[in-house]
Amino acid sequence: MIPAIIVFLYLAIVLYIGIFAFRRGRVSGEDYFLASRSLGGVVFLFSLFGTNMTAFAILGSSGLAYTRGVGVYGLLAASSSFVIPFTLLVIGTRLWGHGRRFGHMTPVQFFRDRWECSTIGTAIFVLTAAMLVPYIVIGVMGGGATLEALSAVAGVGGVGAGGAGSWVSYEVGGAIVALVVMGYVFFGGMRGTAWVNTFQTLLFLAFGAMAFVLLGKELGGFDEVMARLAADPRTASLLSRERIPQAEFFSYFFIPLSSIMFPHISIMCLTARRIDAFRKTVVLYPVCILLVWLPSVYLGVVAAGEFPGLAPGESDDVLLRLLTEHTGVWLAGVLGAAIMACVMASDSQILALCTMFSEDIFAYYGGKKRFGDAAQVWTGRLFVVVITLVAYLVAMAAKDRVGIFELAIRFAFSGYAALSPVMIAALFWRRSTKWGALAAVVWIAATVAGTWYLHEVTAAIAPRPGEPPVPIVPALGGALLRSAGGVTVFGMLPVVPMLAGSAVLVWLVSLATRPPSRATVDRFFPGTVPGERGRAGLKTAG
Amino acid sequence: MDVRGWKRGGVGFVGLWAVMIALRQDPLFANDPGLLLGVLPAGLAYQAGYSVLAMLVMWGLVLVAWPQELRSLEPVEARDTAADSRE
Repeated sequence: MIPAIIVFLYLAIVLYIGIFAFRRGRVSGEDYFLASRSLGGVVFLFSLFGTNMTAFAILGSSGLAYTRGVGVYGLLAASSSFVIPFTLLVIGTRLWGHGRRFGHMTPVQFFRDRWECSTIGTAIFVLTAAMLVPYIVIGVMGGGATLEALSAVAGVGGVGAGGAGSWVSYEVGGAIVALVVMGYVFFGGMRGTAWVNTFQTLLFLAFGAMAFVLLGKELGGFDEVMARLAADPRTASLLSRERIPQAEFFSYFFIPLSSIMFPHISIMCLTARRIDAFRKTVVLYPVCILLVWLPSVYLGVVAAGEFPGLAPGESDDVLLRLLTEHTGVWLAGVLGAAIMACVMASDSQILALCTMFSEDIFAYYGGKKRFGDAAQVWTGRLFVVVITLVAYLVAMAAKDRVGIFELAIRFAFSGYAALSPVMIAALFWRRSTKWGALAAVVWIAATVAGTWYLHEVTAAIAPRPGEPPVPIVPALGGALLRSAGGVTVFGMLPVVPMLAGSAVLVWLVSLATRPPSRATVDRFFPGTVPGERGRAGLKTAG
Repeated sequence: MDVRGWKRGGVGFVGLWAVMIALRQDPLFANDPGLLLGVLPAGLAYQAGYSVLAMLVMWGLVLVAWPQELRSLEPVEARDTAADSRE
């Protein structure tokens, strides 16, 4: 009971932070949705990192390390520690600059302005918004499941057992988390969300380190644990990358390209007060990843020795199991609050969706002009309530089908990563066109749907974890395979062909179609001298 | 920045990506089950070192590839104040 009380105390604090931010705010769209573009360097770093540090990063990484070993760090964290800060430096700063100069508040506004397009901008809105919804639903699901696990009565329920042994049910837990998130997003907008994320990140970094040390002591020292794992033939392979094929490992490098394309991350890039805020973030981001992921992956492997034989679905809560079984109730409570901080990362996704709706739909189609700035803010707030309520109802209805949303998130990662060539073309290529962007968007939507379809129809032939992949179309040999995790193309994740196809389509279709007017291109590329080919193309268009 | 500058930067970035992808593949310790100091698996230590390298690379990029042209964009308050004074 004590862990759950500490978690409730934590929830009250974050709600208060949101209300405090509300009292500091002004009634304007730019203030509610972007905190008046006023975030300083420290808040910018921790809120951006906290927004990216989802339940998947913490609970999912330890669950994956439980089954696939220490290679999981290289798979996801090592690539993120290079790719995410790189994209923040190259793409994030430019988005910030255009936001400052032209007042953009969402990526779709930027695309519409850059390519003089309306309907294609709406198509990009539909694709990015649709891929964001599963995250919000899974945030509510994760909140309900975590509160249920933390309130389990000792000796009756236990982590993962839930239901009868817990005094907070999944439904009530989900409702509490949804209400708290809705509360501070509703009142605090971007300022409240950024402050809460900063608080959550600091909490996790501080107590995560403490938990790691205490768990090591409780387990008799990590050297003992590692020696036991190395000596056991069933777990020795977890200490190397033996369980992750080379091609799959390589292809995971491109997944973090999705980060900058997530609407909540690209919108957050617009909130920095000065360009210098990016400097600290870019340099310190890899360190933050190291501090959070290394213990998570390491403890996932440690858990394989402590709780052998868990099924893939059950292994997601090994971190919670370690905490509740090997630490005192007070520490378990504090760490439960820290884990809750990650689970509640859906706050910025809800806010991003509401910002996009308010700016890309409501304001774009005349609502702001007709009803004013204050009405736009209240429309955004109303949208926060509606989207949270819908997410809660879906999370309750699909309680036993969490796998569907996890799958949707995996496909969404690939989809957002494949959108990155569209952003790069818009920012750096004068000759890029809206038709090139549309071709990439259609390709991404089709390949996400196609991969999902292939995943579902091949479920019956899917090998078990540890078994070799099987060909989906035998005539194609190893081109299309079904592994335990999903469909692969030449052993790689579908993100690789999706990304390549998107880049080629943006390039070819842009060259074949008319570019935006010279005036528009010059607005976005002031002071650059176009090459002869680019100049000729732009002259004919202008 | 002129076109030559863009192209030089682009080639540099592609080269950097190729090196970072190759280093992450870890040809040395990927399948080594040995433990560093008896606690840290060698492959995990290598990848943790990769994150430290990424930090150093970012530090270098901030020094040599920082978008200086964006520094001239002032904060919103300053912009509002300037607009007010014009009125």
